[in-house]
Amino acid sequence: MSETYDFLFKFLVIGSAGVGKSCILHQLLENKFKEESTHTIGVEFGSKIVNVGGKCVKLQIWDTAGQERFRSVTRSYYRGAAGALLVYDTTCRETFNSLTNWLTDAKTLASPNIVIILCGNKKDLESEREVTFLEASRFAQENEVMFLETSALTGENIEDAFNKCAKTILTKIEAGDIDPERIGSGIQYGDSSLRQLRHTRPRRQRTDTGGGCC
Amino acid sequence: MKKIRGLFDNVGKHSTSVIKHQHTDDINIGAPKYAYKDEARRFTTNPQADREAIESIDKVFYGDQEAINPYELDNLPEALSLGDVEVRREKLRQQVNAISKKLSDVILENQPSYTKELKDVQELQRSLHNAFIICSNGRRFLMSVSTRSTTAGLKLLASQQKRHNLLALCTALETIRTLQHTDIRLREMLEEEDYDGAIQLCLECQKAASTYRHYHCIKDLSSKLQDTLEQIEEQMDVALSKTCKTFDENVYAKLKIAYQLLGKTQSAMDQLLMHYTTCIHNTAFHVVLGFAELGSSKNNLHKKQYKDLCTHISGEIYIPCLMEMCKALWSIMHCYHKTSVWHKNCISANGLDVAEEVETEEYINRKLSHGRHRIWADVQSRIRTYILSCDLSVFKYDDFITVLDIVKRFILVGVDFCRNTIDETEPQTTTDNLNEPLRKQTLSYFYNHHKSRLEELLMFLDNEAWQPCPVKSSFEVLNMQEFKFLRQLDVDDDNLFDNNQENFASNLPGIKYFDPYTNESHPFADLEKMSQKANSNDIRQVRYDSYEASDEDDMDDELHQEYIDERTGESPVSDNASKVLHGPIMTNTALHVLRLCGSYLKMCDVLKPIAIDVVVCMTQLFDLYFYAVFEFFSTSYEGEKYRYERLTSTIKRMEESLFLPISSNAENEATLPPNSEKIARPTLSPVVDLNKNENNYGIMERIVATESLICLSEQFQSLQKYLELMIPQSKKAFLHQFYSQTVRSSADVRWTSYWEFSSRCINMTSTIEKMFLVNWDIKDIMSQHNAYVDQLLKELGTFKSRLQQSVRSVQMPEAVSKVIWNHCIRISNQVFVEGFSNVKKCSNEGRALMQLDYQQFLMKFEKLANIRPIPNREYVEAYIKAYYLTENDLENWMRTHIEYTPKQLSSLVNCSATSYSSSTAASTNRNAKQRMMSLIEELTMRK
Repeated sequence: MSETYDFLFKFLVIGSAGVGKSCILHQLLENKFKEESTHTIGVEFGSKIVNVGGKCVKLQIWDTAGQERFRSVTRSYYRGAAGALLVYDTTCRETFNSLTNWLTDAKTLASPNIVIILCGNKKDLESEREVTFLEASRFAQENEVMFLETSALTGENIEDAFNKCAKTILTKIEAGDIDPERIGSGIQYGDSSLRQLRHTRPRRQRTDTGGGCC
Repeated sequence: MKKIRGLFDNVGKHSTSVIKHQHTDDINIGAPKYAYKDEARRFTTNPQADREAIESIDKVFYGDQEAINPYELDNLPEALSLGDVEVRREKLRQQVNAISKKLSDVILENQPSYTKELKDVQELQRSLHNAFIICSNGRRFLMSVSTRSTTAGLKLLASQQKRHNLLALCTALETIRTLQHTDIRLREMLEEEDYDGAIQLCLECQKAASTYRHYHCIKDLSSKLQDTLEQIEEQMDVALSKTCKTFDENVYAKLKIAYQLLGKTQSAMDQLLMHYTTCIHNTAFHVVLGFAELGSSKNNLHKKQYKDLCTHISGEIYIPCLMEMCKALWSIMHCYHKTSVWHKNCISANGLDVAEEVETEEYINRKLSHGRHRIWADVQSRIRTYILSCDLSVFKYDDFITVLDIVKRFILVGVDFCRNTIDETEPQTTTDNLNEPLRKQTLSYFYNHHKSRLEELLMFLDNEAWQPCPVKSSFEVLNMQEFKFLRQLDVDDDNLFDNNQENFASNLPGIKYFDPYTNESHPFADLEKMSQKANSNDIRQVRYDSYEASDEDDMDDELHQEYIDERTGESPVSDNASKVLHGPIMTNTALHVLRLCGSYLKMCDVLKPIAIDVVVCMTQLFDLYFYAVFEFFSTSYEGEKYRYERLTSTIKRMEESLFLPISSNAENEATLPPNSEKIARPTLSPVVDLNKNENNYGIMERIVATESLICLSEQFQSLQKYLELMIPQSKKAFLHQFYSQTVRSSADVRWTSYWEFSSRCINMTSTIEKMFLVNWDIKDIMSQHNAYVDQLLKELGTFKSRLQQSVRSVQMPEAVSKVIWNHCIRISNQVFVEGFSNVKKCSNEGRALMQLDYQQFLMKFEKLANIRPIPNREYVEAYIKAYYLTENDLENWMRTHIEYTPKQLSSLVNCSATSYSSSTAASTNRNAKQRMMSLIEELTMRK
């Protein structure tokens, strides 16, 4: 219960249905591949504390449903996200094609400073690949997002994806590009003694607690 | 010479006796008498003289011959005279005659003896001669033998004799040597585990040794054999202890025979039980030690106590270790079971006829069957210590469930093991040792788990945008992944029942968890498979795999179907936002609550004793959702107070049970105990704005939130029967209270959460203002209603279209529109009453116009809102009609109608008073007015 952390980042995992978002989260949290997976209904949640650049960061990860019909539900979770994993399936071109829509959604609905990392999942299925690394990294460059190819099956690059994203956010905070105290930044200061306060009145307390921490 | 003298002495004295003797002894002595007679003729026979003559013989004559001659010469006197010599010679002659006579007498007397002796002598001579002949013959024979046979021949005979003796000795020595070699053979036999043979051999040896004990070399051997026997016994003991781990019928049978030979069958049984206890302790220790060493670099672990050692097992290896321990302990129990089965079969198969043996076997069986409880108690205590040694509250849910599953299975194993052995004890007590720590651990784990789940739920609520989460129209909580096991449970129950019946038929211990298994398999195999997949969320799913394969997940299937429709364009409306949701309205958070409930129920299922705690916590999940919906969307609601009061009392209970007290300063909260089960309050997500006119004061969110709560409560109701099955009878009252007071009152939230929307959307004041402008003091009966009615209806019409427009993505339930229109009519009624109470002057005709207006309104409203009959119309109608009441009736009426405000009542009094004035005196009128005003004040005070 006595978990302490320096920052809390709100993360999103988005992308078309069936690209493996829930498996990525499961792999991150349990270090296991989720063999039997059903479509996510609405939004599911997971949290993990990671150490990034000497800071303890609690990732509050919202795993959204990829299916179109849940879009209205999942969109409501975009707000105030500090980082997002935009996932596509390297073995399915269609999921790659719809990236633009996802990206637009994320940039408009989430915080404007949202840090996005593009993840080409199912890297392990090399024989069925439909989207090349080069093509995807070009897309990432054009849209100014980071890029990694991952595999939820083997766990390759899964932690890296989250860490890279968190690290970028931290750098931006330190550089002053992101103001954690701004409402909807998706970032909270974490301190065990102040945490409870925030839970009672998180949004009003934020301005009060901001200065005293770290 | 003396003899002769003696003979002479005896002559005179014993002659008669001698003669007499002669007469008696020998009759043949007659002849020599005659010879003696011849002699007597020469000498005179004078016996007296003879005797005297003999007596007078000098002694010298009886002496030496040589002395005699000189004696006579010496005795011659000095003066020799012839006479003297003559005398002397005569005398000597007489003496000689006497002697001669005497002598011949004696000779005559002994003549027959002499002849007889002579005959004997002759006989002897003949014998001697014969002997001589035999001797000479013998010598002659010997001579011939010595010439014919050699000395070598005799030597051979002597050797033969010797050989005989030596051969006998040799056999003895051979036996002794064998005896001494037996030792090695015995050792070999022990290695071959041929205990009975070894003992037999040993006993024989002992017997042999005792027969040869006169040999010096054998002395030590018997003591050595005794040692060996003891050694054998020790070896057997070791072998016996090995049967605790691996029971081999052959080995055990050998051992049994061996113990029987030793006559120690019964003590061996006691020994065996002791071995089992030791084995259980050692096995548990070594399993834990092995795992502890895996996880720790410390070397001195083996010196630790079992209990301390258990604390060294870290979280990751806890389950494998438990699994390993259960398997090991089970296999010991299995061996025990096999042993007792073996003994049972032994009786029935062999059909022992010796009473003593039967008795022994019965003793063994009794002992073994009692021993089951002891073994189980030992096993339990090991596992119990292990379970209690670790703080399981940090475990992941699935891991924890795995632990529970394993221990639960083990308890079943134990119950099976002890089945029907001691009739007196209740079955409950046999497993209490394990159930209790399990309960303790589960409770502590569960509360920990629950707290974090509540906090998670709180976060979901904080982030909830109250958007509808599309689910299938036939959404049913039991179709959810998390509730699959409930359906599985029904199947299980049936199986259980079958098993029970089966067991009643043959109520033998170990029939379920021991008999069907061999050494290689064990009853934890399925669980082990799961635990090897530990840390994986899918553990539970693996278990229900087979069911899922045949039974498709309806909900997901449905979702998938719709998804495909969207992609292929079959769906009539591709824009999702405008798509109307036909299913029940659920939010993401409400679904999350249901998911959590599913996992909670699974906990109930796995460990019934804490079921009530789990169910209580489950109701807290519902409470939290309920509270959040109420808190976010409800506004104080004036109408139908009883609903509101019922709600607020429910909410108050939730507040007290769920949340940290609101405190003004931070320090207070920091000092709260960290393990407090209370949580912070939920806050509405900033995404949702309920105060903006543009989004109709969040009507959409209100509907989604409220209806999801109601949907959730419906789902809870469908779970009621399962919950009732899970909790003990005594706690059912709690559940009933929860359902009747909390779940069912969720529908009341509709009344409070839609009120704000209705009240803010309808502009009351403009209508009231319009009503104020109407002239009610008219003299004619009007046939046309006033324009404000139309305006009000128009406003309501706008409201209706606004409502329809704003609620696009969900199908508004009938009940919701009913509540909303109920609110509308309530608001309209208030507008009417308020408007009428503003009237200063009013005529009877004006009052009729009021009724006309209201009737017009009701007629149109019925069509608009499509509700019939219109509720609460009496509120307005009674107010209008009160105008017609007489003074006293009005007073009574005011006392009973407390729903009107003082202002409305006093206005009524004023209006009525003016109408009275026409008929009664002004003074009484004033009095009546004052009295009624004070009544109104009094009534107000009472309120």
